[in-house]
Amino acid sequence: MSSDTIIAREGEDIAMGNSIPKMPWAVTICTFIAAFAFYLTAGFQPLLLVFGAGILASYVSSARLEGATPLRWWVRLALLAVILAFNQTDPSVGEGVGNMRSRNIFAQFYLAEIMVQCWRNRPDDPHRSTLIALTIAGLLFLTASNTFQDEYIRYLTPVFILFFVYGLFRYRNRRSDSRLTLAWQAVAVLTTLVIGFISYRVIYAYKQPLTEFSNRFLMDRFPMMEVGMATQPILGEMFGLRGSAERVLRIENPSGNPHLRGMAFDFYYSGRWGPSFNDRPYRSALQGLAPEGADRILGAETVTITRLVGRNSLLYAPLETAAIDRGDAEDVEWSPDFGGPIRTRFRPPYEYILTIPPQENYQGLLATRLNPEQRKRALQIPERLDPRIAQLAQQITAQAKTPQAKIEAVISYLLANHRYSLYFRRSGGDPLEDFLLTEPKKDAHCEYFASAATILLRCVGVPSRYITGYYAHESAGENQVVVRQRDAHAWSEAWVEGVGWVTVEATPGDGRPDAQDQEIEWWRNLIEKIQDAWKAFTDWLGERTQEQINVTVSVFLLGGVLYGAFIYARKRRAISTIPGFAYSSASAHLAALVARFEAAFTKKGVPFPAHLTYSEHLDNLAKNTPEALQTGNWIDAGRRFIRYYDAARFGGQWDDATRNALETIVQELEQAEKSKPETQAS
Amino acid sequence: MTVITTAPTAPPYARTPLSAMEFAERVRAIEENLSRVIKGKPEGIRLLLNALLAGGHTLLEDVPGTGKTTLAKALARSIDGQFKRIQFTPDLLPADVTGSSFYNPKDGSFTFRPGPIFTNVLLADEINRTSPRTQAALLEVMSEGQVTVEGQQRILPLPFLVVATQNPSDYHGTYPLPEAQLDRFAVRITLGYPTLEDEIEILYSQNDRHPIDDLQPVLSTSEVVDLQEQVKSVRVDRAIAEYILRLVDTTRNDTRLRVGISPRGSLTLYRMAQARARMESRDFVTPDDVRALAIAVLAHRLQLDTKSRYGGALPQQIIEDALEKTPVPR
Repeated sequence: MSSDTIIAREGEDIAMGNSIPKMPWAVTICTFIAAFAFYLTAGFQPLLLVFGAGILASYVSSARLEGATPLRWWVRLALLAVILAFNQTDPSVGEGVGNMRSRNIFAQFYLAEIMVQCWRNRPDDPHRSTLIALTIAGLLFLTASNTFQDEYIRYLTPVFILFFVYGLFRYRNRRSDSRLTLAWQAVAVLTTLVIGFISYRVIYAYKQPLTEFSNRFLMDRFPMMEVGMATQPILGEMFGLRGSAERVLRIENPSGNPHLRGMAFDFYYSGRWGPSFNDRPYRSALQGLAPEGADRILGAETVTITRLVGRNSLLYAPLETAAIDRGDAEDVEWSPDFGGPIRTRFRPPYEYILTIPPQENYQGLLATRLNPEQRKRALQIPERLDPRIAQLAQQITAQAKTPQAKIEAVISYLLANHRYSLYFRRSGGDPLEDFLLTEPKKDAHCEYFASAATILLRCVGVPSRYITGYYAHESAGENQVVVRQRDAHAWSEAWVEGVGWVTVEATPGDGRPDAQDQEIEWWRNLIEKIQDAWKAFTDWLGERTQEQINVTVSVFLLGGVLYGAFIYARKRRAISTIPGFAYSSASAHLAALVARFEAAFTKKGVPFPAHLTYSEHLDNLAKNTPEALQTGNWIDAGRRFIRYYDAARFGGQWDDATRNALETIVQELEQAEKSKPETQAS
Repeated sequence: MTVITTAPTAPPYARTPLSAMEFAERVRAIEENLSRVIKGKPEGIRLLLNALLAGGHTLLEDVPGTGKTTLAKALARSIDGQFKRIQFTPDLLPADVTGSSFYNPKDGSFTFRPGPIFTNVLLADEINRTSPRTQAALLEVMSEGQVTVEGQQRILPLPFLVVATQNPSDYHGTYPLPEAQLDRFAVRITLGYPTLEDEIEILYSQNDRHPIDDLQPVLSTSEVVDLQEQVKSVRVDRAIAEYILRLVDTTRNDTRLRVGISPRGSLTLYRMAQARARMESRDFVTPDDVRALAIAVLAHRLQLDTKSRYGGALPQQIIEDALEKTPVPR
């Protein structure tokens, strides 16, 4: 007997419920590949090991979670609790689905669910667990693939797909009894590997749109902040989440400066800006945000900013801000030595009010005077930076004498030599060197222009820093501006002796958020209207007295309870059906044969209806034979099949003779199906 | 309470079971016997035999003159057992059916005189022409094979089979059978008018004498009991049982009905399907058996609600709908 038969027997046992169901090995291997890929992406996590051991244990133990018991839900809840306990929130890490923590939780829960499926016993439909486990393994692998370290993924993908496809065959269980020769098996394996490589190549070729797409759901590059608002910005290939049109800020009475600063960074090292958001010295900003005299500035305007959503909790403000009224954003602290950020522990939505003087270069709150230590930091160049960059900086500013002239020279150099692109094609090494020195000059996004301007200015002795924030430009009604996620931007600030800090915008005009924006979709407009209406409603509600609210809520609750009771009473009367609408199933092998038998007739255009028995349908066909069946002895063969089938299915005669007879008839039918066009051709 | 057994024929359990061949031979013999008398109604004959093998009672319902009584008599004659007939008339009393005690002046005691019900085959002719009071006398005996008269249980001989005939209930001079009574019949058989060819044959065959007068018994009572025992060993796959219950359940949820199919109904369908499989020389039941029998076994048990009764719905149609709606096990 060939190994195929053994596989069929195994499936059969599962179907008959005679033995403990076990997950096919292909699915388990698939799962382990996915888990391994995830380990490479996210590092070691003890729970992955525990769940992997749990999956293996299901092959040894004979205990199972029975189909209908609610126990499995308790198990799931318990596992979820364990996973959450193991991945407790770090207060410095943001929330939401996009961060590393939730990705880990998802991955761990995927693996836990596969483990639960391995332990399940589903006598009515034993192959469903296989399909569920396979699907989840696929999800786990996709989660693991969402990474920039793609060297190993290209080797893992074909292997994963190989076992995935094999697992799918096991689920279908159709081919289990067809006898493939060793050569054909080898061809099948090779074909799958080739398909795996090709799919990898295809995915690689379309990596950019795919990454863009997946980043909207799972952005692991920016574990805590929104796009471009990373705790430590990394010069990557993509400019993160450009394209999400979610509203972040609403500004009333906006000032002229579109650059709303969030954070400033001093250290550059190998494509990474620091110090990290969390590594800065913060101090409480109870008084600090409203320096004396700020309210006496002539012509100062007050700008009200509402933070609508957001996973970080920064107070964005233009460079020339003179004072910040915290409004309802409580518990504010800031890091003035590093040029910001100003942060709050308060969750959005919150509102704060800025005092903005008319002078463009007003040196206010955020433009703290440069002390020697800060100057040192603002001039710092990484030791290992390619000396050609310094040479380049000297060349660019050869004609410039004043800091202003140097800034202008750097900006015009960048604008003249580089074009804007959301995507930066890396060729290796320090991304900034890659950007500035590779010939022909590369296209890049704002992070590169801002970093390049900062470093080039430092090379020629102009203190400067790297800023991330939003570029506010979208008007929303009278005297109102809306800032969306896609308006995230990066630029630099330079210190000009005698003037103070100035904004240096080195990104080409066509790359700034105002030039990149697309039309807002109609549904988003609708959602925003609903959000605003809801906000207005909650505000209105806030003005009502407690009694008014209590009475209204009680009336609604009472109505809901009455309605629920009514529905329940009606349902109760209606419930009297037999639970579980699936018939006791036949053996998997027999089911596979029947499926082929039915498929042969379906291909002929005479599928078996669900409410007739096979013989009734054949009787009907015999009475009124359709044209397709007139050649060949379809009805005869069908009757022969049914005689054996009935004995096997309902008579319990499931022996080798019956099996072979059924197999022969099905093959006969399939042959007849295939050979028909040939006879027509000849 | 004393129990009196009048059963003369003890069930011959010790006998070796019949082979499939022998079984089919016996069935064919009785079938041939009946078809000599009833022309052109093989389905009706087979259903009647099916009920006999399943140990169930039969209700023959049709317009007058279609051969109901003849069929019932022919069956009784084909079995070499006791055969009695009750002609149900409006003035019949329960004691006329079950029997009663009478005073014996010789020794001054009361002696029980068994009614016509103590027999193997009982032909209850025109059963719906008697009052519900008398009809009710049959309830106990039909379901339990025993009679309680004057506080004494009397067990009937085996096999015990009631073949009742009736005209459709909306005919003159009839009392509709109560639901409880209807539910005790395994099948209701409708013969219908014969075809032209068959009717011509009937005319000529009865020219000299009725062919029923020439019938000879082909089965003994013990053989009938044997066959009935044999039926019980037919295999019913769980999927088949589920199919039966699903059909029954569909009628229980049908809004057109006042009463759906009782568990007795599903039990009967189960046994009838076993008997049919045996008659087809199979030792397992297929969904075809269930489907072939569903209308004959189930339809007469349904009670339509008033609205659908006057809306023109037929019980038969409701079973057909259930067959249409319920997927077949495969």
